[in-house]
Amino acid sequence: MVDDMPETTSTTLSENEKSEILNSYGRHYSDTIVQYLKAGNLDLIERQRSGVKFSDACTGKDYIDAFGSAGCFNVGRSNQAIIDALEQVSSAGDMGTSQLLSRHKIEFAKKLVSHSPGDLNRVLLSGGGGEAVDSALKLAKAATSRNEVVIMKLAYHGHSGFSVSASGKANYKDPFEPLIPGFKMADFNDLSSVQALASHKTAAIILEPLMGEGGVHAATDEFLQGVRKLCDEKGIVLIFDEIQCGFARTGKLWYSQHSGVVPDIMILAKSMSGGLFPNAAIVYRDIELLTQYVDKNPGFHSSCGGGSDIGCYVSGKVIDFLVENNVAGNARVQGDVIKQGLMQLASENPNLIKEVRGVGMMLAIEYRYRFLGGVMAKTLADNGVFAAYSGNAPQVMRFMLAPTITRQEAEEFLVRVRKAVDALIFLSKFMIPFSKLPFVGRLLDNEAAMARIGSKLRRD
Amino acid sequence: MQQNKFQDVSTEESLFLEAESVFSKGLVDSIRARGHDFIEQGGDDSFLFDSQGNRYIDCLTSASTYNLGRNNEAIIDELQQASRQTDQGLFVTTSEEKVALAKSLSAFVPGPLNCMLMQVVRGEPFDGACKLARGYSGRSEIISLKGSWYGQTGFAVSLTERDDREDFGSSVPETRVVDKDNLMSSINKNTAAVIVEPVQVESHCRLLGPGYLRELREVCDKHGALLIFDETQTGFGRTGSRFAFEAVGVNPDILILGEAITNGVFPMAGIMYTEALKTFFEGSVGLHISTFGGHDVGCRVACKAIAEYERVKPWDNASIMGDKLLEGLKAIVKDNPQIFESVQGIGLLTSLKLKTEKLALDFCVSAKEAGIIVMPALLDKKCVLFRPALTITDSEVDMVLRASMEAVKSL
Repeated sequence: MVDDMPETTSTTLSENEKSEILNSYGRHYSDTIVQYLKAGNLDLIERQRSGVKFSDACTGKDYIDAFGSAGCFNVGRSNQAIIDALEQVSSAGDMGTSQLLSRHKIEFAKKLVSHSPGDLNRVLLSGGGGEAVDSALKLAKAATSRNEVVIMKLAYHGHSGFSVSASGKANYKDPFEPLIPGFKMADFNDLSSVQALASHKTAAIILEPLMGEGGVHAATDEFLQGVRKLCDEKGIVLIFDEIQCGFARTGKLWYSQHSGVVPDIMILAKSMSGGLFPNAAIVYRDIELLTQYVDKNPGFHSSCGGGSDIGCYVSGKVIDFLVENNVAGNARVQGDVIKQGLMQLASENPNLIKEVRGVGMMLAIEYRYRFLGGVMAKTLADNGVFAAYSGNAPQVMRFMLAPTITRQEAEEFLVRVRKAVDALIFLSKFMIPFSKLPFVGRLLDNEAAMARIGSKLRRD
Repeated sequence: MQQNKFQDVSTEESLFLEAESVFSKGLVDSIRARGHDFIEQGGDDSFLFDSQGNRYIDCLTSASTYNLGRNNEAIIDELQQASRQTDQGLFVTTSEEKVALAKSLSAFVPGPLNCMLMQVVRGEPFDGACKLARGYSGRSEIISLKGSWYGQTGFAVSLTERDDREDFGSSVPETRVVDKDNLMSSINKNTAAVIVEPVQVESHCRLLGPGYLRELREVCDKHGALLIFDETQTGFGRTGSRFAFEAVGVNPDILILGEAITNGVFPMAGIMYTEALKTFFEGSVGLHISTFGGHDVGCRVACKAIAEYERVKPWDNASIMGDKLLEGLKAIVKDNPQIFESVQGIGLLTSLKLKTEKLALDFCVSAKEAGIIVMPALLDKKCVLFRPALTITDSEVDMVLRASMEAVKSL
């Protein structure tokens, strides 16, 4: 599927056209983003998008997409089966009416439920991750008539009102306070810290079973089992945010299946769209607590544009594709290949790389120095890998390649990463001693300052 | 539009049962209660189809989304072409598509609102607007008006007076919902923003009026508060101008756009704001992100829809047909004072108020039998909203009025 590049929209961009795009982007959206991208040599314009790769419209250079919009392309980019599905359904009609029932909505919900663990048998559709998180928290609070929510340090759930309040890092919240009160922060993988915060006032415990922006940390089975038991004892709704780790990325269709722990609500978005058409959902257990509230209050949440006829048909084909092609199995096999390769690199460079983590196609390298995240993004880009460091942990480089990756592509990826690490070794010889000077260290760890300096160096 | 006429009643009934089990019985019951006991199967222009091959005039348009009519061919063609040539893209990067949308949208939207942040569905941009106002101003209080409906996300729920608001626990602190008469006096030096819908659609399409909005602008300026207009339902021509604020001549600092931006072909919504406000987002990256928000396929679709809006200029027709619809409904109200209280609206955003909530639901049921799809307002449930495609023809408005008269007879 990687060889068939889609048709191109236009010829290669000139440098002038590209800088016009960057300038316009800066003018209408954000100049700061442009500066950051320039600093990391990530100021490219995506053109051909296919499988695990895309090409830069300006240079024609191909990049392995190790960012994947944080897990949106689990069927691979420009997947023909998904494009065909979109074409088919949109030839027969539009998005439909969000206030009415349709065959596509019902059939997708049934399919989703049939592939969901345990008694996760009911669906509420929405438009994106943040909205889905808001719907889950509203349901948990309303059904339990409780207000408090236990969240995890460094957790990331989105930017809408409830989801940003559930964020485990202050920088997403500080400029917008006061946000919704009652969110209590526990330590991830520390059951006693969760126990200390959970009470009869707790509506929900929400967590990413494989934490993404927080730096790719997997919940232990014991932690998930302990949290499940705690929720059962205290009548708390357990919510798993599988927005990044779901849809076959980690070797199972849902990450929770590794532990066998079934949450009360599972939140899905990103890859549900097939990388083509936004859609999101929560799947919740058919238990009296939740079902009864929704039955009595069907209007407690609705989405205009989420759960559309086109979106649901496309999302159904995403599930079909993942299941029929055993993408989860491939994610596990190729994930092991890549993880082994990264661990080899780590053992060769113990002074640079602290740890390699992750499962399947959700992997990460943690550096010994915070500032290396930004530098490594640049050396990776120079060597044809587009990757981003974790939003809530800049010393962690995340690799979220399409789980449809072939063995050959996995090897190619490792070759490129090795080159990037070699370049990093060269740079770090100069930077690490300097970074030990207090002023320089603070500057290097200041992402905003580094972006401005890097961007300026590029210009000069 | 392909119509599938092979389905029999029993499969339709089984779909309803499945919907009860996979969504909720309460949801299916509420849909049936307003007479929409059918499986929708697309639409075309002013019409919505069910799986039995019945055609209805769509006066719901997914809550003011299909301003250019259902199943718009040009925009759907663009969706298909774009999906073959591009995809969602990486949300952290720049792209040709995002820039093309920025240019066409800032040219389309009147006034100095040239900066933007795109999101997916209504509610999210509302929350984005509130956060921007707080972040930019360094103040925290956000004030809104009773009778507004903003969506389902955290800030939106906090600033909407709805029956179930308490169900969701604590609201966002320092958000206030006040009476129309008390709004001006509520604004103070701690007010980050005042947020209003120029037409309170879900509360009997109450118009705030030019005088009121001009005064609001002045009072906001006096206290250094930002003014936000939520034009989710009023935008893209529905009230007889591109945006309601254009006709009134009052520029907001932030404008909220709804899904009409793609004419219901792609989930997209967003906010537009002045260059001054953009400085806040320049302070850092990632302060407010949307994965699907700057979707490259979505940007292509929205660009095409905006070109269609420019070509068709549906606001002119909305104004003419809106007047005709309003006059026709006024006559029905006048002839049936025992059933109706009043009718009001602007452009093709019209609200018919009945004596009771039960009567409003019954009207929707009878109206469906008579061939039109309408739904009660979300806040003032005695009201039935008429918000058809803005491209509706004169004879189709006649059909809406005839169906309304028929519906009255069976009440």
